Order: sequence, then structure tokens, then C-alpha cells
Amino acid sequence: MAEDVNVNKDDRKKFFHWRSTKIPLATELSYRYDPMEMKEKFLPTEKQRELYNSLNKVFSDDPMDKMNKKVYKYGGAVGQSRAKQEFVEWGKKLAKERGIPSYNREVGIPLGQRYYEPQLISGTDIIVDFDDLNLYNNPAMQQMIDDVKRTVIIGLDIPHRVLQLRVGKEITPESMNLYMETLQHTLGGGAVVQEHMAEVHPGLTYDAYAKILTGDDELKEQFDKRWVLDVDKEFHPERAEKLKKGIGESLYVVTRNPTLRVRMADGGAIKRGSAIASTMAFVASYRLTGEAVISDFAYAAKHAQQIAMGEIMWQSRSRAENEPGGIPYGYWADICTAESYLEPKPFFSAVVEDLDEGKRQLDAALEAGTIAAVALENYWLGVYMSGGISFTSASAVVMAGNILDDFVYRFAELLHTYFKGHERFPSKWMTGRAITETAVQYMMEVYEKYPALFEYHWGGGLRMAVMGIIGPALLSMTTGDAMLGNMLVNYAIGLIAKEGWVRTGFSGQEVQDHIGMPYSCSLRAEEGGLIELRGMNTPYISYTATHSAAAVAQCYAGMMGRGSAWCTSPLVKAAFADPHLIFNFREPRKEIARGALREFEPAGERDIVRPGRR
Amino acid sequence: MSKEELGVIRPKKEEEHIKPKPPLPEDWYKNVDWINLKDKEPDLYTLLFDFLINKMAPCPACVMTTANFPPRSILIETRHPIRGVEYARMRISPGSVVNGAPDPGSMIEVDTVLRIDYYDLVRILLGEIDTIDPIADGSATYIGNMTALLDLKDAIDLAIKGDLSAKVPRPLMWPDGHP
Amino acid sequence: MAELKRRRRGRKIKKYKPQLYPGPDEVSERRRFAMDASRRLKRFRSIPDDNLVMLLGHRHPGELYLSIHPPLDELVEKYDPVKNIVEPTPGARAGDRIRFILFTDSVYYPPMAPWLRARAYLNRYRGIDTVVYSSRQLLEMRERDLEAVSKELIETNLFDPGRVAIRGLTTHGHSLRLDEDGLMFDARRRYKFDKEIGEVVYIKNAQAEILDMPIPVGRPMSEREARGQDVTYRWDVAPYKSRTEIMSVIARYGTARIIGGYNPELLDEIDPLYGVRYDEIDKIKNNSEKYKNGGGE
Repeated sequence: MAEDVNVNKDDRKKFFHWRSTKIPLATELSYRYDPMEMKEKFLPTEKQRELYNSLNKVFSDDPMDKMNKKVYKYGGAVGQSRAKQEFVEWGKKLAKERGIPSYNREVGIPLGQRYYEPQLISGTDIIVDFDDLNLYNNPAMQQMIDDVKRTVIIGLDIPHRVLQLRVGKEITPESMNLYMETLQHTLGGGAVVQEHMAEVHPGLTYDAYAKILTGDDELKEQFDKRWVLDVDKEFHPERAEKLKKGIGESLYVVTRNPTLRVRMADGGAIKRGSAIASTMAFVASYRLTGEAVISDFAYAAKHAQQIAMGEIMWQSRSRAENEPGGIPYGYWADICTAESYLEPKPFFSAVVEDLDEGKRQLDAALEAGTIAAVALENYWLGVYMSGGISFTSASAVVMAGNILDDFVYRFAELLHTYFKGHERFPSKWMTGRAITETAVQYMMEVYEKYPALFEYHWGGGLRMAVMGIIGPALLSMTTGDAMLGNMLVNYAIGLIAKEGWVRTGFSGQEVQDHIGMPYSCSLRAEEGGLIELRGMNTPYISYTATHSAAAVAQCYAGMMGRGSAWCTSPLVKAAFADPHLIFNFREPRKEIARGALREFEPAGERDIVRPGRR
Repeated sequence: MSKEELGVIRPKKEEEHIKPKPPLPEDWYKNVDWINLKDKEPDLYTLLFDFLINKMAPCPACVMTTANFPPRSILIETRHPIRGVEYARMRISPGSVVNGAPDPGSMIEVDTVLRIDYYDLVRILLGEIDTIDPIADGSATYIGNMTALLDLKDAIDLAIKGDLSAKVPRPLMWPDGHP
Repeated sequence: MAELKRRRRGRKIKKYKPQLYPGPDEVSERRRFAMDASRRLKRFRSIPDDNLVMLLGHRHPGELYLSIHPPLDELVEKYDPVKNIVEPTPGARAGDRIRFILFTDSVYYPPMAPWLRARAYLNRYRGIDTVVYSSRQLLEMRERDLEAVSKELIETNLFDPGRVAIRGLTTHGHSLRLDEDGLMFDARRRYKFDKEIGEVVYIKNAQAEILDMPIPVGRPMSEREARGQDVTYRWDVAPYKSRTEIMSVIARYGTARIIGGYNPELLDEIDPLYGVRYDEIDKIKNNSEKYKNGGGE
């Protein structure tokens, strides 16, 4: 304060005469109000929301009613769920057939005293049973992970150089196409080098193939179109340009091992499977013998130019390459290709200009969240790390009920209405804090307004997951900075939500982020580096379910916020836009819904070698 | 890989993202009709008070609309290059301006704290920029209830334009009158 | 202790009084009340000792306490100065086993909530271990101490028979809609509303074993009453958005951890709202030509 303002006091008195009188002034305390009385002003608007309609559909009741008069009178889960009825029948059948009891609804706690709500898959009209979203029951979810696990990208530049310099062979379009044709044969389990070999039934490995990937259009033209992964065709033209620039002039081959191999062995077998198939294809197509250069092909395919999806994990979580735990968050964000046909426009500019475009981008981010939730919560934590039956509700909160969709749409509308003419939020703590706070406060408010939503997300962990995903991911979307979003996950859960309700998630869920300084500004302090390169393999972070999808959502949101074509690797992004994949990574929620409806055909089945199925 | 391929995280210059703002003339307050005392630049309280009595209170659209809002109190904290930090509370429904932050122990809790540059606030009250603009530019920030901030924005917009068409329809999340 | 007090008087040093919780509104006042050990809880109802023992289900009424070690007075232990300073609780002195009580708190206007329970327990009681979950709070103590504490927790304003439940297993139900009598859902149906006496009665103990006789625990609060006891911020009780004081404290924590990196020196220099050093705020604000020229005067 440099100087006193009230210099000319006589003049001031004319306008501020009350200052000299003794009239007590009314303060804010005189105008306290009961918020309940304001109810009628906004309740009609609430009924226009997607959330209201979805919850109404799911609960067949008014979702804003705090009381459920039918509770304890629903007649158990078996009476309410088609899936449970089937389970009971199968339990009886199995007990009779094998003589040992199996599934038995009579033991344990009686399920279904409350409403056993069905699941409405977000973005669709499909309503499925909760049990159908369990990983074990849903072949689409399994195939999603299998498709990731069976993918390995191999660079062809080193083998070509070895062929030219050391062996003196010429690389021509014919020879390269011959190599690719041979590779399709070897990947499925066909023999090429030895003359007396048992081979794999091609019907079992129909999903094994390889495709060429390059950013050079001239190089691409030299290959047979059947085995070219055409970036131009699979992406929006601007995205394709960016991707091609990122991939560069190098030549890569995306190999898909048979799903059967994933089912029989692990990710380590996939890495080796691709390497041996590629090496054999080189040997056969370039007519090499057992000379020393072959070790160079093997080395290039296995190490030097191999891009596995995941790294080997550290000792106590030890798994081979290409297992979900070793895949970095940034790769998961690249694996989702829901945005492939959208214009690569930074989210903030997109949403202030065109609300629908913004909503489409947000939809894509939720698709990525679905992939992350299934892969990391259900598969990695729910099966690999706990040996359990997968935490179904952890992924159901992300993909069911149109709930996250409704939250993000409301924010899109807010941005569209009030931030016209701006290009982005500055990536600063002060902005991040304010936006995350507003988002979390809003979400808490919605939970309080909708008792049915509270019941739908019945566990603290589920609600915290929603807040941990939406609040910071929205911030990443608007600033384009995934790291800032990641810093604010704990802020959202462990401080804002916790102090509001004085409760968080299961076992005080914010503990994961309290350990060390994992979410501080400094990259050096935590030795973890960028969030995109981190993963479920980061040793100092302790994980529980419903916690990890947030990190992937932020990576993806950061990418959308910057208007980038990829998050961490253009190769991975392009590899998963492949139309020949069994699982469609552009529409994971729809695919999972198909799986729940038993309309999804997975690969890796052994039907053709089972009795009576020839 | 060049920077463009990864997308632009930060622009080359911070200013590129900030909406262009023409500089205020040296004696801006002398040409503003709603400022009562033109002998010197008004302090925060005087500025808001003058705006309230000369712009908001005489505007029927503003009074009618803000009557629908719950009682709000927004603490505005400005930073002036010479006078330093100043506080004033803008109250909506009923409207009033109170000098200073709530005293400790007074049990008064404001709905929102808005920290803003003094000249940004002047521009907002003159109608040159939007209330939300400084927040989006990263030069202002708020803590607390954003709905109250939107109420303030509506009140200012209506007072400046003087008719109901100035009010932006609220998005679904927070309709008028939402606490 | 007396010596310390005398010295304090002599030097005119004020005794440290923790602030416990920020915020001037009613909800934060309730939180302060629960956490403040110097304030007596309000007694709303009375539960006979035997009923409480049956409700907990750890022993039968009149049964001796099981002990896991001989009474401390009979033990010959190595000299330890800490043992001289810390006075053992009655349960520890007698060598009781450790038992627990678990409360589930509904999300609909609860008079207590898990994290607040943890803070209140740690402020009010000695010799405890406590675990926070999303819906429930576990309190572990020596058995006779536990019974004394449980009695206080159930008889006072920290308990609402309709919205707080004593559960040993199958504890879930906090976020579900209330049943037709306004009670929190319980998959084991340990309690019901007795319309004749107008009270909630437990027909099973905490472990869901059927009791010989129903145990009344008092009248459930009406929604209006419960809103007056609520310790959580809700849009219809006290909108959380408008709690700027709590938000500022939270912002300070978050800023200290994320920007300050736990450096206490940096903490005082950083503005919690902007998240940058105070001396840098001026630089941020250098966005107008006007400003650079030294303002408008």
C-alpha cells in the first residue's frame, strides 16, 4: 500500500455519508438462506439431462428420490437377473454331472435385497446384466487385451542394411513383398526352412498376420496393398499427415501373433514369436543359410528394432514383455483410436467454436478411459495382481449409465458458453486448481442431488475414481498438459472430495498419491519422468483398483488438448487403427456391449480341433 | 521429431493466447460517466460502489434478474501498481458493496474470492472485456463458488448493456438461482 | 504436570489451543465439536451396559474379560522410562484382548463420517487403533476400554439410530437410498424400526447373530433433525462450493505439496491461490502496457 486514498475527505463524505452515522450495516450473515428453498428453480432443468434419463431407465424410478420403498422386497438377485438364473441352472447341472458341488447361491450372503440394477452401456441403448460386464464372461474384453498383447512392431531398416552390406543382396520391391508373404505364413505357424516339419492348423491361427507401416508414401506404393497398413485411409487427413511425419521414412512391420499363443503362453512368447517368424521369413525369402548374419536378424527383431507394447516388469510384479502391467500409460492412450476420424484441433478451441465437436472429442476420451479401466483395473489388478474375478464395477463406472458422459458434456457446455474467443487455458497451477476444484465440487453436488447415482456408484472407490478421472482429465483437455492433470488427481480426491464428505474411497483411497512426492512438479524428484512414460510398473506407487484409469485418461486428454495426432508413439497409434484387428479399438464400448450380448466372435478358439466340430 | 508434431504445449509467446486488450488511456476515469469523483483514479471500493449505484441499481433488467439469484458475496482482491492490494466485497441479491475483506471472527464467509488485476477489473466494468476473460488468460483466478462468479458476470453484463438480451443463457449445469 | 502449569503461569505463556478445523459455518463448527476433546458430547439416549455388551457380541453379559497377558501390575518388566510417563488404560492394565467396534455412516445427513471419526477418536481417546474406509470406521481397543468408549459413542449426538449403524461384517450400505422407514440399508437386516415404541431395535448383534431379545437404541432422527446434525457438506445443508475458507486451506496444502515439494521455507513464499512465489505475481500481471508504465496515476 503506497499511500492513503482518502485525500479529499470532504468530497468523499457527500457520497459516503453513512460512514459517519451509527447505523449498523447488514452483513452477509443477515442474508443466510436455506438452499432447499431454491430447489424449485433448478429441478425442472435437471430433468432435461442425459443423467436423469439414464438413471430413470436403469432404476425405473425417480432418481432424485432419497427413499426406496421397495428395498428388501425385490426377491433376491436370482429373481432380478437373467444371468444369475443361468448361473444357478449351470451350478445345478455341474453338481449333477461331476458330483462335486459348484456354483451355489445358497451359501454366503443373500444377494439382491436391494435393486440389482442392469447396466446401460454409455453412448448406446444397450442394457446388459452386470454379470455380463465381468471380464471372465465378456469375450470382447478378453480379446481387447489379447489384441494388445499379441502385437509387436519390428523395424526392417537394420535387417535390410545387413542384407545389403554384409550379404550383398539387393533389396527390391519383389524381395520385400516376398518377405511379407512369407511372414504371413510363418506367423501363423507354417514351416519354411526345414523340410520335415509338423505345422499349425491355419484355422487355429487365422488371426495371425503382419502389415507394413511407413510414413513414406513412395515406399508404401512398392508394397502389395493387402499387407499395407494405410495411415491415410485409417485417419483424418490432418492426423495422417502428422502421423506420417512422426513415423518418418523408416520401414516397420506390425506383427500380430495368433491369439492362441497369448492364451497358451505369455507376452514373452509373443516377442519371441514375432522375432522368429520375421527371421525365418528373411532366411526363406532371401535364401540364406545358417550363416552368422542370421543372428543379426534375430537381434534386430528381438532387441535392436523391436517395439514391444510393454516392458519386463520388476521383480515382485515380475512378468515378461507385452503384459498389461508393463505397458506405459502413454501407449494405452495411443492404443485407443476413437479419435482417428476427428480433426486434430486442440480441444479448447474446438469446444468454444463448436459444441458438438467438443463433445465428440470428449466421447473419444471416455472410450480411452474404458480401455484403460478394462486393461488396468479389470485385467491387471483384478486378475494378474489379485488373482480375483476382476473388479467389474471399476470399469462399469467408466462405461455404463452415461454418467461420465453427462458430467463432461455439462463442462463442455460451460466452456462453450463462457470462454468464447479463447484458445486454451494456460497450463498453470492457479488455473488447474480452480478448474479441478470447480469440477469436483460440481460432481459432488450431482451425487448429492441424485440418490440413485449414489446408489449406482455404491462404493467410495468408485466415486473417487470418477472424480479422479473427470476433474483432472478435463483440465488436461483444456490445457493440453497431462502432467498438470496428474498432479491434481490427489488434490481432487485426497483434499477436495475428502474434506467435503469427510470420506473418500475404500481404505482411504488417497493414500496411493500420498506416498513420496509422485505428483510434484519436479520430474527429477520422483524419478518417474513424464506421466506418459510411467505405468503400472512404476515401483514406488502403490495401486488399488479404480485408480489407474485416471492416468491414462489424462495422457489421452493431454493429447486431445494439444490437438496432437498421437500421445507417445505414432507407431502404436497407427498399429491399433488396423481394421483387421479382431477388437475394434475405435469403439471399445460398443464392442464390449456386443461381448455382453454374446454377439462378439473372439479369436484363439480351439473349436476346429474339438471333438465333432471338424 | 519437431515440436509441431507433438502438438503445441505452450505457445511461443504467452501473449498470443491472451485476448488483445487496448491500453487504457492515462486518465481513463475522467471520461467515464458513471464515476462520480474524477479528481483521481478511484480505489477498488469507490469503483465498485460507483458502478453499483450508477449502473447496476438504475438498470431494471439487472435488478430483476439478480433478484432470482441466491444472496451472494464475492470478495474481490485487486492488485494495483501503486496502491497495492485492495479488498472489497461485491454483494448480489441484495446488491451492495462493502469495503475490505471480512474481519477475522466476524463469522462472515464469502462465496467466492476473485483475484484480479485492477486494470482488468476496470476493463470489465467498462465493458471492454468479459468477466471470465482474465481467468481464461491466466492473469486472474478464483477460489470457491463459480456459480456466484457467473451471477456476478450476469449482473455486470446486464448493467453495462442495460437490457435483458445481454444475459447469456445459463448452461444446464447451473441454471439461474442455483446455490 | 503441575510443575509445567506453574511454570506456564510464571512466564505468562499461553497454552497452545489448536484451531482444529477452518470455516465459520455450522458444519465446520460441528466438525470442531466432534474433534475437540475439551468439549463434552451431548447425551441423547441411554443404553444399559448389558445391552451394549450383547450388541457388540464379543462376550456375554456378566462373562469375565478374556485376557491375553497377565495384569501389568503382576508383570516384572525391564525398566522403561516411557512406561512411567504413559499411564496404561484400565484395559491394558488388566491385560484384556483387543476387540473392535465398527460404525457405518450413511451419506444422508450423518452425524459422523469416517474421516471425522478418525480425527475425533485420535483426539478424544487413548490406546486406540483406527482404520478409515469409505463408509465405515473401525475402532480397535482393549475390550473394557472399548465398551466404555462405545457407550459414549452410541449414547451421544455422534450417533443417529437411523443413519449410523453398528456392524461387524457386511458393512456396506452407506450410499444406498434409505428404506421406507428412513433407515440405512443393511444386507444383514440387523435392525428394524419398531413402530410400537417408535425406536430402532437391533434384532441381531454386530456380527449378525440373532439376539435373544431386541435391543432398542433410540428414536431415529427425522430428516429435519438430521440436517441440523449433519457433518458433511451437501448442496442442501451447506453448499460446499461456497466454503472459501476450507478451500483456501486446501489450496495451501495442495500448493505446498505440489509446487513447494514439502519445502517449509518455500511454503511461506508461495501464494496458495496463484501457486507461484509472491514476488512473481507481479510478473504474471505484466500483461498490460498500462501496467508497465506504472499505472494510471
